[in-house]
Order: sequence, then C-alpha cells, then structure tokens
Amino acid sequence: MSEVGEASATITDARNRIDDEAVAWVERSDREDWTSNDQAEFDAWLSQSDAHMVAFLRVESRWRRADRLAALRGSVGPGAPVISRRGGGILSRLVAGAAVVLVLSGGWFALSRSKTPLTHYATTIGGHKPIKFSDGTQAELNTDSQIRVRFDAHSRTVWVDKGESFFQVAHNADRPFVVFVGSERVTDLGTKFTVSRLSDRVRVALIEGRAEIDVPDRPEISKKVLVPGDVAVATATSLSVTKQTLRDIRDDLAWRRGLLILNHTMLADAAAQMNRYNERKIIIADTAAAQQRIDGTFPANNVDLFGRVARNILGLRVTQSGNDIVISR
Amino acid sequence: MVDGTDTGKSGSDLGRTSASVTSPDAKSWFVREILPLEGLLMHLLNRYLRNPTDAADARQDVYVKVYEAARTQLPDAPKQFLVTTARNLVIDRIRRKQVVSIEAAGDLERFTIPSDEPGPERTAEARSELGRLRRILDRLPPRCREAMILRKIEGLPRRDIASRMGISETAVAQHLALGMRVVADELDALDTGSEP
Repeated sequence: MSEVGEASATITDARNRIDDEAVAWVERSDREDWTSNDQAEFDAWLSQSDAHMVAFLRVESRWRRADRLAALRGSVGPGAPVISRRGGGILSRLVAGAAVVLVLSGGWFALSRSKTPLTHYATTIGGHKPIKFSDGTQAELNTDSQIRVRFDAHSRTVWVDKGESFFQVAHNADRPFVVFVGSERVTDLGTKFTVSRLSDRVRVALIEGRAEIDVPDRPEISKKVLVPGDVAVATATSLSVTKQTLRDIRDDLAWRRGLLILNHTMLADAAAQMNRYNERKIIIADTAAAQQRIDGTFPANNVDLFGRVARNILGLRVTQSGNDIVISR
Repeated sequence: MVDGTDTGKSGSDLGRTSASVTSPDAKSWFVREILPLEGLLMHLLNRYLRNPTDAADARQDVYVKVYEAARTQLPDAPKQFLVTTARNLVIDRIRRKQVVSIEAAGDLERFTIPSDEPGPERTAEARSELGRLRRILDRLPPRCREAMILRKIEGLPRRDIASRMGISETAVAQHLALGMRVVADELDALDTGSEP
C-alpha cells in the first residue's frame, strides 16, 4: 500500500517534467532551424515511453489547431498586436498567478477609490511578522512574504503579493474585508484563514467562519463558498476546493510558532518546505532519498537538525556543499 | 498504475522500441477521439481527486492507458472507454487511499456518463474553436499574447518577432512556450468551472 502513496509527489514531478519536455519539443519543432540532429534527438525522446508520446500529442495537436488564429489576420493590425484590451491586464494576472479576495460580513465588496495610502509589510527569508491593525484585525506574515494594506472608512483591502499570511479578521459589517491574491477573489464572511501565494499557485485555507471565493475577471468560474476545513487552490487555469481536517490545516500553520510539522511527508516536500525558511538550502540528491517519508516537528530554522534526522533516523547520507547540505541515499 | 512515471523516469539512454511499432492509427485516433474529451475527463477527475495536481497526474495515467490499449486495438466507443479507464483509475486510488477527496467514496456511481446523453463537452464543442482560441489569447499575459499574435496570426518567424518586440529569440521562445502550455491546457477544457 504505502509505496504507492509515496510515489505521489514523484508522479507529479515526472508528469510536470514530461509536460515541460513536450512543450519544449513542440516549441523547438516550430522553429525554422530544425535540423536532422534535432529530429534524431526528438525521435529518441519520443520512443522512451508512451507518456512522452501522449504528452507530445496533447501539446502538438492543440498548437496546430491554434493555427486557425491566422483567420484573424487583418482584423488585428500588425502595429496593434492586441486583440482586446478589455480586462486584459487584470485577466493576465490570473494567468501569472491567481488571486483571492476575502470580504467580511456579506454583501458585495466595493473596492475603494480612496486616497488612503497603501502600507507595505514584508518579511525576508526566515522572517515572521505579527501585525495588529487598528480595527482589531490581526495578520501574521510568514517567511519571505509581502502584503499591502489599505484601510479606510468603508473598506479594508489587503493584497498578498508573495508568500503566506494568516488573518484573524475583526468582524465589521460596514467595512468588508477583502484579500486579493492575483486575480481570484475570496469574500470572507468569517474570521480565520490563511492565504499563500507560492510560485503560480494560490491557496486559501479556512479555519473559522465562512468565505466566498471567486475570480472576478473570469465569470465562467463560478463562485464557491468555503467553510472551515475547506482549502481552495487556484492555478493559472483552475480553481478547486477540497477538504482537509482542521488538524492538518493547523499543523500547516505551525510556522506561527516557528515550527514545521511533518506528517509522513516525502523528504523532497519536506526539504522544499524547510528551504522556504532558510538561506542555507537542503538539496535532495536522488529519487530514492526524495521518496523517503519523514515525521516530526522541526524548528523551521534548524537545517542541521533536519540533516541529523535524515542521517540518524532515515539512514541517509548527509554532506555539506558550501553552505548547503546535500542528502542522498 | 504508475507505469507512465516509471518509464518516464527511466532516463535518456533507455530507449524502448514500443513507440516504433505503434500504428499511425493509434496516434491519430488519440488526437481525434480522445483529446477533445479532455474537458469531460478533467471534470470527472477534479470531482474525485484532491486537487488539480492530482487530477493532472491522473490525466496522464489515463491517457497512457488509453493510448496503450489503442495500439493493440482501437476501442469502438472512445468516450465510454475513456470514462471507464478514468473510473477504474479513481477506484484504484480510493482503494489505496491515495489522492482522493473525502466526498468521493460515496459518490462513485455518478462517474458514468451515459454515452447517449450529451456530456458537458458537447457545449464546449458547440462553441467555435476560433472563439475559444481568441479568448485564450485574451487571457495571456500581455507580452506572451503579443508573441502569440505575431506567431500565430501574423505568422512571423521567431527572429522577426524578437526584433518587433525588442527582445531576444530565447525570450520569444519562452513566451511561446507559455502560450503553448495554456493552449494545451485550455483549448479542450470545459467553458465553465461550475458543476453542469
């Protein structure tokens, strides 16, 4: 049983890699300078597995179908390489990384045009910053994070630009609380939630209360209501909501106490989590090591302890490479 | 179940001969019959699996299984075959308590789309492909969209796109790779993120 579970992150890595390679091959074959060497290399790649073949067919056939866009030639002037400016700037942020808005206390939020200045808050790698706002709302910034905040008489708006932030919102029906992450919107009717924006993936986990999440610029994605235990994940192309136990969500928030709780976590994931908190990086050198599972509560800033557990409990090799540590089978 | 992964990680010099014996039929059948059903497939997988990443992983496994079957013999009812393959894979994962949302277990009987009932993908088909492409283009980041327009609408080579945009050919390739990825993910996706 468990060896299948352990393969999960590796499957994702392999699939991402294959998809990346498929895109790279289609991109390369779309160039004018395709050589017989390229062809031979490509044939070799393709023959390695059916997974390569289906990934390639998937990208290549749709890229070919996009040739139909040529029908628009003339309707889109060469000097104005823009089809529609309408909403483009905002929508494109969804592609770059989705957004979240949380609005407290029912009703539609109105984004204020007030001239109240923005306040910036940021942490560096390993940092942790609790913030108390005048309305009683509290926020906590995790490592390497940035938010901007604008509160005025009628609205409270926060932009999570990077990293992760926990919010405990003081309810006020007259001043909706809105959090933007990219272009997705969560309307918060409740109180406690955490929002993260790591690479192009946005995640919102609700601990208490209620929230609505939607993507204002993409009406075709329907609004979803979050209840405690719901975790919304948005990528460039999708928004989905799943359930986690509150205990798991709270474990994920152990960073508020400077801790990382690992519960049968793949070593590769664990290292990635540790690396968010430290300039000294943990490098997992091979797949065998990456697939090991690790349990325990770690001080997020203690790279050496992590290394010792890998060596003494998991029986892996741990070596130094400059400032970083390398873990291998 | 993880056969796609196993072969995928086998490295660069471990050539297998399987693809070379593939009849061209399997490829064109796969492109013609299966890929347009991706919206339906993802709709089903997203309902039963924990998150989009797991769904995308499962998508690849399903495609590999369907493609492997097609290399031996082309299935008669592509949609039914795809749905059944996806269903078996999800059941397999539930059995192994892997990557499945907690609502999934009691709800599996809904995993069958009767083949005579219009599935959600029909709606998607009904929309014009050009319209879909145009909307996809509109949602790209501005520079990426510009590169895509110069390539696909104007038909310019990368060198000319680079000089028009004042960037390197490598940067053009990166913009096009992003556009390509979004087209691959969205062209056959369902139009709506809601339940049908």
